[in-house]
Amino acid sequence: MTMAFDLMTDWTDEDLLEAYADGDQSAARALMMRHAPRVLSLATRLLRDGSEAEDVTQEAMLRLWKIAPDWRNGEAKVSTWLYRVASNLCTDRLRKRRGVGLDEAPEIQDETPDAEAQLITADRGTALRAAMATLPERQRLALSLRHLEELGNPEIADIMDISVDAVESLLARARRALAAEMEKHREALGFTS
Amino acid sequence: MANKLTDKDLDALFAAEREQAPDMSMRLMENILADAAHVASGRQIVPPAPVPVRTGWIQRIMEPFGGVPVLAGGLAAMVIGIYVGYSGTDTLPVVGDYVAGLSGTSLTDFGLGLDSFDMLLEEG
Repeated sequence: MTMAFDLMTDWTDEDLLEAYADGDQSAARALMMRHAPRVLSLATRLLRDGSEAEDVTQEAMLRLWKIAPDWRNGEAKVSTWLYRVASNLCTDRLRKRRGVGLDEAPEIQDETPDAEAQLITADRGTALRAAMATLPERQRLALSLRHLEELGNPEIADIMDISVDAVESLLARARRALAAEMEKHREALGFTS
Repeated sequence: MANKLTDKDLDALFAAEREQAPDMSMRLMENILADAAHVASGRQIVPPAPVPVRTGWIQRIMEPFGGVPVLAGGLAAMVIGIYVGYSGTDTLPVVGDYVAGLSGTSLTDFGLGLDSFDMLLEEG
């Protein structure tokens, strides 16, 4: 049976996945509208490339469709699972850009040529994105999840497969590094307190 | 020297950035839903496996040899064979003599109510 999409707003993610696995395409639409925008947002911030971010979003959702019949309720939140898949896909792409194998890839800073230039010419939002691009990718991921996607530290720990203490430490380092980067252009950005 | 960028400043930047989430394009939504339909169509509906019938241990032991009917037949043949082996053909019933061709008895002597078929049963 296919339910109208607008009647599914109070369904849980698990209910929707089960309905999709039973052949209800409107459940797939509801899941997409609920989660794909957030996955796209994270991927865009991590990759800074709209086209690649769309590819990652499509791939993450495809993996969700495939795993739907085997989804085990209570083991993970769908959103957490999707963020984890998307962040791993983004990490793979970032490392491929650098031409470094996955295992030996160090946490190096993004040396994108325009990162520095954008700081002095663009608005605060662009400056923030550019400053975040200079951070090591795991710091960038943690900052994005915490301050842009507004997730709690335990969920971030699940997504990044690290402890909550490690998340707090990562966030503290990331905020210090971000503030230092933004500080260079403090006056240009209008922070003149 | 200017004051450092404060946590409050950073939080304000993050709050502004949250408003700048990218929009989903129609093409992306169509692709995602096409994937969902494709995956669903390729998923075969597997009928539930038949529930195995519970069998006793004697049946499970007999199964490789052909089951109860075959073993029962074999057992009967074995009993007859032992009987014949010990007692010899002299003590076999008249039917045995007839089969072995040792007696002039014919099937019509058994009184099986086959009188009407005498003609068919007689030789010649």
